[in-house]
Amino acid sequence: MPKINKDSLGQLQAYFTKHLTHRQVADQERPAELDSLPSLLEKSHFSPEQLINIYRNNFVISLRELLEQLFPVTQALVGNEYFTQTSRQFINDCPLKEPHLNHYGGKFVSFLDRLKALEHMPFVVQMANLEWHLDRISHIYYEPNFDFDALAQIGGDQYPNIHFNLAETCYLQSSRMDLIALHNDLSEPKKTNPSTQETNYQQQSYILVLQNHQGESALMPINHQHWVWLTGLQNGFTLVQLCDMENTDIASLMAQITDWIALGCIDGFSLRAEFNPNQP
Amino acid sequence: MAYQKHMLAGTGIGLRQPHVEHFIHGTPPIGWLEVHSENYLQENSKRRHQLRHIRNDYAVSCHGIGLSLGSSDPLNLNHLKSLKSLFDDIQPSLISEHLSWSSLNGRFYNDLLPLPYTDESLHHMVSQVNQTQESLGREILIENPSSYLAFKHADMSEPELLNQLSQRSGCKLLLDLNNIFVSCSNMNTDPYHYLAVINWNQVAEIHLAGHTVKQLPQGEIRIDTHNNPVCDEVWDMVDAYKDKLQYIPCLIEWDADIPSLEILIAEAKKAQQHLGLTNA
Repeated sequence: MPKINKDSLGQLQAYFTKHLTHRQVADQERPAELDSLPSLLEKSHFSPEQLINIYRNNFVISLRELLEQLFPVTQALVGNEYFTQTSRQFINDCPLKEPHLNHYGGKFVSFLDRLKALEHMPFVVQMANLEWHLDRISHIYYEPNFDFDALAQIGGDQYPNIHFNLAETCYLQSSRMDLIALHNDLSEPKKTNPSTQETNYQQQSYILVLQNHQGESALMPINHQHWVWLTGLQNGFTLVQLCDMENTDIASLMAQITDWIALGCIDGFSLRAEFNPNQP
Repeated sequence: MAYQKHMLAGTGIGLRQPHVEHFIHGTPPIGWLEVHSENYLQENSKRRHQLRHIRNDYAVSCHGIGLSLGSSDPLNLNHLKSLKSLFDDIQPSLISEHLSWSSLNGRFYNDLLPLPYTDESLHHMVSQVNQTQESLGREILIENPSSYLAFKHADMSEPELLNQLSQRSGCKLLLDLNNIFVSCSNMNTDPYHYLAVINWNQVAEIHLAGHTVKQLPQGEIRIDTHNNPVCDEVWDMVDAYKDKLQYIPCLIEWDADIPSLEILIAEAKKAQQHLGLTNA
């Protein structure tokens, strides 16, 4: 059995964390180093495993509860059993590398995206991504303060070169599924009503996640043209380039831009001399 | 930012998200507030903005759970930098951390893990606390954790280690009476002996909280869950040490199954009565 002397804090902590992360698998041999820690503990009427299990539960359960809180619709989509199993695997395989939980949910989405079992159900990862951005955007402090006076100073001949900034409180997502309908139905399951038609979720959807005027994050369906314009803005396109993309004129586009400013989707603008496709 | 001056005195409560709006739109009758530092690290977050607003009306203390001072890993300087930025912004009256560790080799375990109370641990904690205080440019408080196990090769008791740490590093102590009761019950030691050993001149803050009693086949174990009112045995400790405690800021902590603000304020008033700060 490995020994530890009293001057090896690091070694004791290594033994401790080995116990915390050890998962009992039936056909897996128990590593010898797991026998080290119990011999270092004061006698108790509880077994070393029971005592260490208290710390393990605190650690695993707190992270699992966080994931359940962040991804309730994804959990409803895949079922409790699969979600619990996947969360446990994530907590084990993708260690928390920061002393806070601010980015942990985003890493869970990336983990789901790598799971072979979900390869044929891309909407699960898309839903998780949607929920992650809903939560992320809800935490951003945002006060719309678009500078209309500065915009009024821009001459008409310079309009084509204006680039409008998409606010950080906006996120765009598309899917071959009607993710908003699915999200709504799984968030608030409908009461059984035989006369209600089944929702057809197999529809292309374009979604804008944004922070509304109450400071809450919300899902907004948008059409294909708006999707093209908003992703164009996201990619740094100027007004004239957006017009070219959808074969429209600047006046029509400006009317749309005004609506998006009112919604809080656009928070500023800049003038671009000329467009370089490699440097948006 | 210049905040109005507020004294951190009497009883306070831990500020938790369900109650934030009460403090944004009013000034509920409570002496002061404590926040978990890691929940407010993001500068452009809604939470940080709300805290700035609340800080105008209340004295605030920042209680950290992520510095992992007892870990044999080097101090996480990025985290320390984020904390300093938060403290410069919020200007808390007190800053506290724990006599514990929560990370090893860059992996975080989201729990307060136990230290062996050895000379090595003491030297290590003194060094980590010194480095932290130098980086922050101010003193910090160190809190006693709840324990479920003890290590055989201890050189001293927990209160002895805290006294030494405080004496050598100049830090102050945050004494959690619930944690003392939980640890002493689990280790079959006397909480009043603990209170007799501690150097009260160094105690700058008190925590009171509830815990859960879990039944295992061999007997009961107390788990520090912060989801209940303060238990009678802890109130008895408060009564016994009232003369020392009444001059120290005292906090009611409630982190899970969070009740209404009225219940939390009633618990804080109960603390004031036990401390002889108001008439029963």
